Amino acid sequence: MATAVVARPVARPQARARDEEVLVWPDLVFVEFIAALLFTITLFILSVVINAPLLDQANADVTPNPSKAPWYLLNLQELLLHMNAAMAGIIVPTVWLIILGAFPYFDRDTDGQGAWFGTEGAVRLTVVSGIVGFVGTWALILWDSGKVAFFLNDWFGLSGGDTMRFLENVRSMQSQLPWPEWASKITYLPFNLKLLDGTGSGGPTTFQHLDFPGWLVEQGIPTALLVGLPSLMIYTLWRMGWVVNRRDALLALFSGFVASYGVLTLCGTAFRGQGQELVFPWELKVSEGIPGQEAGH
Amino acid sequence: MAAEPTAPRGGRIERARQIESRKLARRSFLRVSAFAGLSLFVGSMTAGFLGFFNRLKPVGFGGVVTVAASRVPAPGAEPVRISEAKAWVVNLSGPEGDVLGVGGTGGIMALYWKCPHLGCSVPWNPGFNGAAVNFPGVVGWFRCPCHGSTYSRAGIRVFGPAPRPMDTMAITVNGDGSISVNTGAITSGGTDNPLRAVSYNG
Repeated sequence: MATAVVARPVARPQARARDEEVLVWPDLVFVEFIAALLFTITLFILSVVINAPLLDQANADVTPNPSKAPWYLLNLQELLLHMNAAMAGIIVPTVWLIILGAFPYFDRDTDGQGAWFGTEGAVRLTVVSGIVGFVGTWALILWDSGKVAFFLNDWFGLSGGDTMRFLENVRSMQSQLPWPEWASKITYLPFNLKLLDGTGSGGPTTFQHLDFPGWLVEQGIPTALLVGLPSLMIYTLWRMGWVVNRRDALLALFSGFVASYGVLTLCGTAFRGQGQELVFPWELKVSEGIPGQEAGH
Repeated sequence: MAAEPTAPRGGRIERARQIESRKLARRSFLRVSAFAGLSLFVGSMTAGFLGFFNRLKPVGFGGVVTVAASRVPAPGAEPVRISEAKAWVVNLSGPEGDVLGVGGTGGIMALYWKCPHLGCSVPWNPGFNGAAVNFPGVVGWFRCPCHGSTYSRAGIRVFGPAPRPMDTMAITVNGDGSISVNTGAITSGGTDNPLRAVSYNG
């Protein structure tokens, strides 16, 4: 082989200085050992202090009241109280996960990557959108559980009378408005086609007919609020000049989400009593649902 | 030389043959019993499986459940839980439970206790008046423990995520005052629930 090989000087990696290195033993393992000890002690104390009984063998005939999912799913269960089951359980989480995954494709600015609160108004944006998410979610929960109307009536003697009853909660827009007969049976397949509509006993939509009030209450209004309120917040912050680039918008959106998510989890865990009625945490009682022992009030 | 020892040798051969045939008998016994056991097992599984398809005379839930007159509530009394029918038997007094005003005139009805939302069994909550703003004065509602769907005494959904009122079961009143709840004939709930009540004079 007559190929001339030109030897290039290879940049040899510099040996790291000794004081930049951390050894597995003792530096890392010792810290891990301390952490493991702390967790063990904490769990031990918690298991002594907090009672977590296994209860009786399950009885398929009775449902505990309230019936709750594990705490980390109670945010979704809280959503289920307010909208169509497929939306709350599947569509909203899926769409939100896709949106979360799309964040880096929407904000492609590499400036200030990896820095916490990297933009000028970042801290106040986080605080304000967090507060908006917190207060807004509580307000929506209180409204949809009828508590707003109840307190207006109970504390201030305010009552909208019969004409305003439809505003008590979302569902009352279906039951308290004089919807005409045809509104709950809007045919949207032409030629009287019948697809999977043997029983006519589906949800808000059977395949042939749309129950418009049902659709409005279970899907229309929740979708409008889920999309509209965050958009409105970001638009307002943009008009105020706080949101100036895409990262700001995403920061506001994400902070608002974290606050709402926390409120939903907290509300579902600590504020939902029997029949998923809103109660204070210290009033929360669980009945095993045994006949004759269901607690009334 | 070949003929003389035939008798004793024949006896040994015969014994050996008998032993051999006993061995064979044991092997076939094992084979037969193994296959018999297997077919017994598969057969009982199949019979049990086919039992699911017996829709001719179901007993308990799925069939007709008779509720004795003593268990039928008086008009206006609290609904009674009929476990074997998975139903609440309600005796409406007049327009009771007809919270949306469709013209119910009272009577007896059986409400399937499975929530039409996601299927939890719905308990009766006699003291609940959380619908006080929209339905003042109405105390006592069915309220689902899982997602809070709230139904009137006639199963009318007034609140919560359930897509429709509680489902009803066909009932007939017998001569002795007992009622027969046909748990196989479940009709999807509708706002006309109060009109499905059957008059009862037991």
